[in-house]
Amino acid sequence: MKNAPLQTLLLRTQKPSQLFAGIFGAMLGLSLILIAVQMYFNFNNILNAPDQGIGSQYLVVNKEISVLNSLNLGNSNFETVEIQELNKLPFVSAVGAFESNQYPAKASLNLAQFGVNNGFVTDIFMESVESQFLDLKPNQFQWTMPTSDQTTLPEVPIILPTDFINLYNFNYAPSRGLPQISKDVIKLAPFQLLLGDPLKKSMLVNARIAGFSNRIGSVLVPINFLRYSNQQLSQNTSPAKPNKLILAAQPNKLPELQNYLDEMGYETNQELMRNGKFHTLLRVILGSVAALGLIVIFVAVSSFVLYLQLSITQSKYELETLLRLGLSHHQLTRWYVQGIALILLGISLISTLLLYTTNNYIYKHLIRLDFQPEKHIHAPVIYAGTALIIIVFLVQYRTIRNQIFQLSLPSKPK
Amino acid sequence: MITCSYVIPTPIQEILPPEAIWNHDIQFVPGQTYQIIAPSGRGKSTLIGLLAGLRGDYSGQIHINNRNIQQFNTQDWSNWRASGASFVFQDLRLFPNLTALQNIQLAQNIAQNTEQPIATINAIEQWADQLQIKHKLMQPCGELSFGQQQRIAILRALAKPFQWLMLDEPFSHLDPQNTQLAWQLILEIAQQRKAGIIITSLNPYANILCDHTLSV
Repeated sequence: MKNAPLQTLLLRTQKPSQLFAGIFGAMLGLSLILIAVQMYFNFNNILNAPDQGIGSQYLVVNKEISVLNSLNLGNSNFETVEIQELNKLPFVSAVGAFESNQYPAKASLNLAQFGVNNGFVTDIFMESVESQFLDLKPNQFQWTMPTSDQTTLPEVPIILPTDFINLYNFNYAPSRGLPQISKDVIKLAPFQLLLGDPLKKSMLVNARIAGFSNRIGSVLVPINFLRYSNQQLSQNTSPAKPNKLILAAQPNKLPELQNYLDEMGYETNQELMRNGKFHTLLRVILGSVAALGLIVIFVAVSSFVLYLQLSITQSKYELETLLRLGLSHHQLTRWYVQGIALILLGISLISTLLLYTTNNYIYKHLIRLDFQPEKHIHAPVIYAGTALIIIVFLVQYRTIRNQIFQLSLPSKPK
Repeated sequence: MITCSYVIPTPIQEILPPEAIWNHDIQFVPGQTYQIIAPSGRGKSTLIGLLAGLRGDYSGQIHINNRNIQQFNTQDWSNWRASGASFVFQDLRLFPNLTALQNIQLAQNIAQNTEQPIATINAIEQWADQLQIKHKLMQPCGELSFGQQQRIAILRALAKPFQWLMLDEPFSHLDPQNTQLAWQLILEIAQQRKAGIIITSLNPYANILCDHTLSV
């Protein structure tokens, strides 16, 4: 059966605008759904990946300080049982305890080599935590124990909070007429640490800045150095109980964690807690986009089906005549279905193209933001797309088949 | 063989005189010609509609080639219409925006999978010449007069395969001379194919002689 006369016969009566609206709507709806599903998996992978910074949400937790603490009656240390309980929570993947120096410490900086006469000396405090909780792992953030024949102590790498250099550059330096210092330059600065009580027992070590942390707001040193120095300089023989903990928590479970912390009277950074809300918000947005896509598809398919029904109704004379000439309803249905299959193929191709383009665009943005997203299209996206196209096809196939079949039956007027 | 046993179409059940042919056992034998003469409203077109499978509102039984048509499925009807019978309906059922030749060839294309021969383009042109409408073959049917359209519908019926020709008042808009020409052509081709003819009319045609005449 040559199709050319069929096209002139069957498509003549119908204005194509409704068809185009249906095609455009179906394309838009399908693309929205595919993109939403793809983005859901993209963001989910980023948000839950262990090395992606926000894979686990790291929270520094301490006990609330009350008047009792100020009167030295309270205790803000964490007991072993409390730490174990935190560890058992399903949404907490790891708990680390901060250790701190148990002796006085001063840091001094001589800026003579930078052409600045006044250096500065400041009291400092140092902390350590297991390296898995650090947001950066510089290669040089390691300290080796001195051997017995060494006369000077090995250089200590330290990690400063980014806030420190910001405070210096934007507050301290301008107020004193000092030059601002970049991160790279300050890494060259010759810090010296005077540890312990100079009148009793002390040690002087050179320190080198190994990096800047956004996560932890104190001066970090390698844990083996802190333990070594505490052992050498502290009066306390038993290790102190930690008063700050760091938790690695699932970002999507932060609200539950918040409830637990509130219940226990623990404090944490509220700003970070917002990330959890952001995570939830992102899901709501992507879910809404997918829902919108579904609605658009539904409307588009309805318009499509309406177009087909109208088209068949308006071509009733032609269809009946073709049937009277011996064309079977299977052949007529096949003719329509082939057309629809072609249209759906076109819609799928264009939607896939849109999906790839959007995915690449977002991929580039995420890379620029230092995330490591996956570039490939996720399998569920393909399943969802295929399922939708099949459903749309079946709905239209049924519409056509039923209507043409009705026309092909001998009529029995009442 | 087509048999109609006491067939009464539902719409004319009440007005039917008891002696009418409808209420008998009628047999249509292949290769024979049948003329059904009746005034309007006596079910001539209904009979053609029943035999084409277009309507199913009747009592009694109709058999085509020994099969009750109640048992025909849609594919059986398609096969019957494509190669078993050719119809000229009263309303002709041409496509007004296709040319006369496209109308004829479309019907041939639909039937092309059957094993029976279909007319060549030369044959179609020769027949059109005989009916004096060869010059109209390339014109859209919508632009032709009803008489010209009737002849195109006849050509369409003849150009496709058939064992039965069923013509519902096919000459209503033709003058006696053209009626004569068309009948000769129909008879000639039907005889070549050993096909039967059922033709309906309001009045007996002076120049049409059939093997059997049935009056209602």
